[in-house]
Amino acid sequence: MATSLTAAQASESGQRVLLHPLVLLTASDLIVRHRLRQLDGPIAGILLGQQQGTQLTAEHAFTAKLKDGLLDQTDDWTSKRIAQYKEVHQKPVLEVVGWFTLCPETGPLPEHATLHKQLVSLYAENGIMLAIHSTEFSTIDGTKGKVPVSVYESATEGGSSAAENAMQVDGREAMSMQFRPVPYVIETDETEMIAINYVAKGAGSAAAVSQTSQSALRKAGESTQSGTETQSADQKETLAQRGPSLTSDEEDQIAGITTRLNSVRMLQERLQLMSRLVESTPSSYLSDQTVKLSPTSPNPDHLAQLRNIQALLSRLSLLTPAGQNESQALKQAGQAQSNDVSISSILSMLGQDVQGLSELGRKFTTIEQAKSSRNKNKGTFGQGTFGSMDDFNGRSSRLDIDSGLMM
Amino acid sequence: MSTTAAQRTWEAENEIITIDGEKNALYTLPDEKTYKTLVNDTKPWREDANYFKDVYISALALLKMTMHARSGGSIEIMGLMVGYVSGTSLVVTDAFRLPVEATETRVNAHADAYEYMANFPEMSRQSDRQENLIGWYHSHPGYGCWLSGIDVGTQKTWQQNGHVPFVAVVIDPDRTVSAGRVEIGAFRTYEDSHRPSDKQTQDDGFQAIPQGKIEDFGAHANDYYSLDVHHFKSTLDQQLIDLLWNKYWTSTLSQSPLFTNAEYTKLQIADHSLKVKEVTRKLKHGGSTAGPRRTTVELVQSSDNKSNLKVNPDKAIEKIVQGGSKINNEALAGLLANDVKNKLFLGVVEEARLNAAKAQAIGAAAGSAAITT
Repeated sequence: MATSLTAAQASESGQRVLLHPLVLLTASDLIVRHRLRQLDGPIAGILLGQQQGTQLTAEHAFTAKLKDGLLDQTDDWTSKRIAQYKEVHQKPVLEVVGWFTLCPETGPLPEHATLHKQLVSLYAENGIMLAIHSTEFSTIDGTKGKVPVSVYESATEGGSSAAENAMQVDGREAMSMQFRPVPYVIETDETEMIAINYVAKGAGSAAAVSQTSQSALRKAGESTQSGTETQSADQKETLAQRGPSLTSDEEDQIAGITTRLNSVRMLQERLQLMSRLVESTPSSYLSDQTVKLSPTSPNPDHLAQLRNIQALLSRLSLLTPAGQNESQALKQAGQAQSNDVSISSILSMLGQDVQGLSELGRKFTTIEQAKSSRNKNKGTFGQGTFGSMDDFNGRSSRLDIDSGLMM
Repeated sequence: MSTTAAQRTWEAENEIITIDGEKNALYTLPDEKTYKTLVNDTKPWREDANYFKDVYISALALLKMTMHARSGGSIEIMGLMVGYVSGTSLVVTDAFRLPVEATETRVNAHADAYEYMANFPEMSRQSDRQENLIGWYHSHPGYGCWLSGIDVGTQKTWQQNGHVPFVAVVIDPDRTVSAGRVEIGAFRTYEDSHRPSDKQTQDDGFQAIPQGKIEDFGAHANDYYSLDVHHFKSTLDQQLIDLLWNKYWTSTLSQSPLFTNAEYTKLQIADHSLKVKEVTRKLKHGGSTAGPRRTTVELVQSSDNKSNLKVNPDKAIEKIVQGGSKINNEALAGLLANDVKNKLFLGVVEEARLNAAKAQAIGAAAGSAAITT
């Protein structure tokens, strides 16, 4: 399904687009803030990159300021902003290569066309439009493997622009411009990959700090006395105990397991594909030797794949070394590794236990001291009469402030 | 505000994406009025030089800073960060570069940069970013994350002059690439009057500092303290990253983290054991490590009778325990990877052949049984 703006055939210009993850992250950051802070207007940004021949890279992006559906030109705002970015991107020199916005899967809207034209005429001759498909975000499936974006380039249909102008209706921006989908590849360089990996691993939930700090801020705002600090510290403690949100360690583990799960799913999909191929070979050839081979019966294209599959299977069988001696060594190495990991688990739990014990000891000492000091001031019922201690429950101990009871 | 119907269609695209407000809470700005009071009047960080404990950096800011550091090569680069204060944490939401000329030993900001520093955030505010400056970042290519004498001076100036608290972030792009993880540190300086005398020189552990810089490091190591660096990302970021990572599913399945990270894990454990020794020594020689000022457990009058015991967690021990569990978690993840690999690939074909042979045998037996009857 394509709107009238999407050209039927794919791009013939041979243009190839290399998209960097930083662009996608910038866009997602903009989307999140836009929705959460309830900003106005459509979501759009400008892409920076390099154009080398038919290859176009999109490496950076920033938010575009829009006014009435076009780039804001009051006080040369957009030009100044672009100049600011160009000033700091000198190695290598980056230029405007296009823009991004939210867009339905069916294709760009007429409003997009107007802005695209403006951008192309002012800043980027072969500018591309990066369309982010909003609906696909709500139904994201980790195994699909396809990032929900498309890249379009503008193409003028038919003849030269002079002929088009003749056809244009006076005044209106004509629909003579069409968008052609352009193939793109996601490209990362080493540093980018390391940084994204680092961010991906730690689950780094964006909810963690807010719980404690928002209430702390509220407290800071409301009470004007000093001692808000201790109050907010208390708040933090109780909130940390109460919240159903996962600790960062647990989120880390979940993230790791999810990645592995997705990879295994991908593997399974590929395997199913392969088995379908094998099954599709005419069965008579598989089991019945009498059927003659004809040039078309087992599809000759498939033969190469079948050979590959067989090679793969024989390689796999070599993985498990035959014979007792070799497999023993491998097993022992594996066992040693898991033993090491178990040791580190025990050690870390030991550390936690030591910490718990030391806290227990400190609590006990404090209470003992309080008791003994109470014994000294036996007559006073003033501040701080301390009573018995019910039981120890890890971190939160309970004291019954009951002057009469003492155990 | 757009009013035309056409633009409304365009803007309608925005509505399709739903963002969970709770899970992405860090992306909202704090309430303006209370924030202003906090920043202009209360300023709790004035009393406590160690007020801020943590820094939370958004995925976007982290990526931008790392790429910037790398693009500088062996030359230091510098930039600014924007964000806001949240309790005892500083939240960094974005970062931008500065057009600064850096020589080998110092990062000088001249007139152009000052103008940039004023104009850029102003235009950001007009666009979509209302946050204020919250810190600065620069790189130490190859020589670790700490503050040099000049850095300390710069940071002190920022902390004294600005309204909003400032944090200094340092990234080492070379070590990032060689270690395969982002080398980053965040620091705040003490004022001259406050230099803690009992504080030990920061044990950088396994971060060997090159000979040429070690003097600079030692001379100023007591002028600042480091904050814990955390990073966060939105649920949308998470989805995108999951998708991106599916490209690399083959390497995910085939990697052996226990093996490739063996060197790094070894160094971590060595560093960890040093820290444990240190804390044990301190505890043995009397008192807790929380310092003489505060008792670690206090009896507090409280409205509900549930928590009359206020425990100030012993920070040093806490850090060690957390370090230990971090190491452990990484090891467990590596073991999981290995297990998955074994189950998937090791001995699979043999097993399949055995099963097939068994099935055939059963089939043959059934067939012969059918024939004989």
